[in-house]
Amino acid sequence: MLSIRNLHAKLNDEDKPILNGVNLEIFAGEVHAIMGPNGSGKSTLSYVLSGRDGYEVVSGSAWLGDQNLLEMEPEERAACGLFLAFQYPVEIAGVGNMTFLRTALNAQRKTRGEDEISAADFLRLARTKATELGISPDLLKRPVNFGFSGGEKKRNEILQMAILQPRMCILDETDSGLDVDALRQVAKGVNNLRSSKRAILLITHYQRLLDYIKPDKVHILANGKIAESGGPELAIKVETSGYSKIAGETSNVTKI
Amino acid sequence: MSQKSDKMQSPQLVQKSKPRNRSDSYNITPSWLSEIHAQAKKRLEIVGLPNRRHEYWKYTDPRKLQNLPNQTGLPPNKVPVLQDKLGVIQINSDELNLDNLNLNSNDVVISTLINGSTANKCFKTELFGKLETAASEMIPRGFAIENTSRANQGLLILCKNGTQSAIQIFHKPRLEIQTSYQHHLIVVEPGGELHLTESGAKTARSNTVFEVYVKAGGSFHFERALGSSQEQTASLCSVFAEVEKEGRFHLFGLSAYSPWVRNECVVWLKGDNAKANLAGAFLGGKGCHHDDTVLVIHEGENCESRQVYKKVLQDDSKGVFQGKILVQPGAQKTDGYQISQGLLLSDDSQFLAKPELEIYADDVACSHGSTSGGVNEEAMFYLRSRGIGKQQAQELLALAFLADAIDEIKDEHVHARVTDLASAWFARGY
Repeated sequence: MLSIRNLHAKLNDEDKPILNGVNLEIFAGEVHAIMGPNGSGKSTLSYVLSGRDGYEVVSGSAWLGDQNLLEMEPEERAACGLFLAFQYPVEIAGVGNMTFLRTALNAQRKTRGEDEISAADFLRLARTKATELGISPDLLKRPVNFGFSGGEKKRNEILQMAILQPRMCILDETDSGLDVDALRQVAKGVNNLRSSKRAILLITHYQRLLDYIKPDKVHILANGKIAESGGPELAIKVETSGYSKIAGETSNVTKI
Repeated sequence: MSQKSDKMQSPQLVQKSKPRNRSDSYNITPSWLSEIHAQAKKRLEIVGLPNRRHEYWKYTDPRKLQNLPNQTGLPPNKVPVLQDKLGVIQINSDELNLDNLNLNSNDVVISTLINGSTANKCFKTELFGKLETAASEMIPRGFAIENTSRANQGLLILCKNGTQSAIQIFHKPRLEIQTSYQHHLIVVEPGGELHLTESGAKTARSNTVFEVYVKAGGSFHFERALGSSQEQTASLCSVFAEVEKEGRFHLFGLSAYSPWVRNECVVWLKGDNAKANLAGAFLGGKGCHHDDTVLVIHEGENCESRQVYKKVLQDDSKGVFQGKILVQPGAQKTDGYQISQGLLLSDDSQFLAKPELEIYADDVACSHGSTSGGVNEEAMFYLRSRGIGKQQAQELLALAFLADAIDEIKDEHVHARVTDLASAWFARGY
């Protein structure tokens, strides 16, 4: 599903590399987790994959199925089925959440050559998905993420995922800023989206999220490359011994 | 808005268009109006038409209004409807054919300048030109004086004591007419409530004046959606209003892709506890120039005023805002607010703002702000990462930006219409 080969990237206006040759292969149906200390390049990886301005890919490749992600505009990547759940979802005053969701879904369908969904069908879809995620209908009427609590913002990301039905989901620190109840609800939403046709990549600092969303594989990102890969037990090792122990075996991460 | 049951059947069309030629119209100018014309001509001789050296015309070239080549604006395919509830009085104005309009009901009197008999009965004709004269004494306003010196087209609207009325004016310019001078006089009697909307396209060159009197406890809502003509046009509109105690004055203007627009507004909050809301939303494209020049004068105590102006500027369009809150001695507890913002969607667009406060009372709260900048890149990426194309994302954000100004419209129904219209006009994108 997602195939990243020797990916090197840096900020446009700085020379210092952030990603130093990331290799990652995720197959349909799998859930992977990338863990790593602050500054290891976790968020950069998610931004580079989703096409945010300000980053320059120096070398390497990233493919989603048979499509070269790095050659596409952000909206094209989305239409191909890539979804990034933001660590800090953006507040957009003046744009209604429903309008946003419907516009996004229809834009993707149009790009894929599918018919637009009718307003009535969309309303039904949005209400059903919102109810499943414990999102109050009031949140659908408000401007996108505007004045939402931390938990509401993260739930709104999962709602978008549930409506847009991407095949490759990247969740960037979706657990940050959530209390236990909200975390459970978000995790439940993500688990509902697990399917043999979809892959999920969780980016997180803590093992806590992985108690609720069980990954198939765990990778440790340090100094802009995968330092170690393993099963869920790797996350527990991180929790008990810290990143420096693991990553330190390859290099000194704390200086990043 | 509630309407009396006898008016609930259908929208009334108060326009019997009996074609007249121009010379007829000029011949029947009533004597009271001729006198006002003559006085204004004298004032105009002294003041003259504005030029670029005038402080109030620093950002906008007044010659555009005078020197426009002889051509007309294209009539829009469809004149936007802003009010279509039952009981709304519909007035079609083809710029020079308002002559036969005459309505006198329990709620409202509508007449025209040259329909002398009704005008004399229901209006104190000495009100005509009075606010314009007062405004022109503060700042020379050559174009408004010129209008008073020659306009014989215009509506006289009287909203009677304690009643409610809704009136919609449509403009469908006659292509053979190059220039129009309309001068409207509106009186809202104590406790009256008048909702006026104006939409359509103006003639190639239009110089319009509204004089509005809002009596104690009266309220006047005025929404305009004009322009959107592809040809070269130039439109100047001056709104002068006097608001007595506890009166409400609301003015909103939407315009899109108009080559040259100057909207002036002067409001006197004369009585205590009066309120004025002034707002405007503009979508500019190639070659467009849009100027809002606003002055709110606080005279009464405990009055509130808001100015909210937003301009989306694409290509080489230019947006101008000159807004002033003047708080006169004794206007204590004034609450004044002013915001003007330009959203620059291209490197060639410009937003020029001159916010001013002039305060002669010591117990007032006035705030003002002005910003200009591009779209929020974070928001842009967020929308695009969800599959929304760059153009559409920009449109969503631009309309969201205008929403603050549109939200000043109190009537939900008109609000929805204006929102849809802004979206449609933006999508059309010329």
